[in-house]
Amino acid sequence: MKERSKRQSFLGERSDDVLGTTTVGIIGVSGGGSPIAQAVAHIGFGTTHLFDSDFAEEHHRHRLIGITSAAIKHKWKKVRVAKRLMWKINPEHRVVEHACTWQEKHETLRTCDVVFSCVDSYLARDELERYLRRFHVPLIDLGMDVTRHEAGHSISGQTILSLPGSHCMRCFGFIRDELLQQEAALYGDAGERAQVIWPNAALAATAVGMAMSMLLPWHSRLPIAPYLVYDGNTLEISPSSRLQHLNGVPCRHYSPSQRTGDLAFTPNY
Amino acid sequence: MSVRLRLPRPLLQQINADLCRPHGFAAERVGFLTCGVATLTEPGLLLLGEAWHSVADEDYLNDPRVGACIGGSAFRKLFQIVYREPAVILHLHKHDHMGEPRFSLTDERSMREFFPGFFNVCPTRPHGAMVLSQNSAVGTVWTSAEGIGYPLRIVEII
Repeated sequence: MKERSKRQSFLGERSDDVLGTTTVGIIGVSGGGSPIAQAVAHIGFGTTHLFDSDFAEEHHRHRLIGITSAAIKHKWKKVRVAKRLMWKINPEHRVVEHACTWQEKHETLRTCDVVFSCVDSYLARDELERYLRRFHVPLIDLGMDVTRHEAGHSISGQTILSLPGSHCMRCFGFIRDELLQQEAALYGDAGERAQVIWPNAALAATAVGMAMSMLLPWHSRLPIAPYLVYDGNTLEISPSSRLQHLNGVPCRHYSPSQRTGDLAFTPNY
Repeated sequence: MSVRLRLPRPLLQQINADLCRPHGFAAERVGFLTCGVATLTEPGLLLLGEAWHSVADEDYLNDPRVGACIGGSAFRKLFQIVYREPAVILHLHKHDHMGEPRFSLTDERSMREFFPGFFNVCPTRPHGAMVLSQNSAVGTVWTSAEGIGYPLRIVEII
């Protein structure tokens, strides 16, 4: 076991090997994705693919982990900011920047053992989940929102594990057709969604915990709930109440025997 | 060329439960896993387990020389499915021990006999065979009936 892994040795003798051969994808490396990138570098995963076409600006300073004045001045791509952050933590870690949308390099996602979805919209989540289900790639989604009320504001968020063969984000009621339609109607008029660093950090840490419990389960009798909700006003994370309605009910949206793989398979051998 | 298989855990549990059932006269059970397939950015194939096709009790032939012998009806039932929707076919059986399993000489001989038939019904997909143990698996995948077999060494359970 490597010297740096001694304090996580409870994850098992093979943990260094498992982590070293694990490939992670992070879609969006801003508020939600940058703390994941940081944690992934600390843990010691083998390869990480970072996807984000945006660049660093002043208004990202309050939430983008690793951002610097130089990054803002020179308009670095966010993937460059994240890669630099990860390299400083762990130079052995292989980080691949993709300063584009995931759709432009979608083949890369098939090689991932787990993909973190840190995107802003329901539509983007839906597209990503559909794609990853085709290739049996586990997806962990996280996100936060701030809503205004008479008495002030409410901060809420979620971390969801969408595991092929298990329940999906539609089963959890997180993605619904009416939400997609509302979002489509607001296209171009949604404005900036409020984002702050502490809920993102809590949700990112939870998402990484979900990934670790899947890759290196450290307790055989305590499965992690696949849908955790964050109440940013009471600062609590708890299993969603919707889970109780799914006991013994299979996923209705993605059949276990659904067609997988390339839609039109063209051999490359 | 690297070949890897990604298998949802519930599907693996279904396979193990089926292969572990005793049979009236056969010493072991066999079955077929149909898979989707995708290319990888580096030359290679990603097989994606989709469905398990159990062999019915009556489709086994009583042949004491081998652990399990199945008749043409078992293949016909499978081929009816694959005719409709092209899929990768993996022939599976299980050796009941821990550690990395190996194909026996009998396994290899019988594979050479039956796997060209897979290409007759579905020539556009690779096909192969896999042997499981209690905690490991190995396999071989062919991309054509006449071609060489590629080892299937990476099996990811999700």
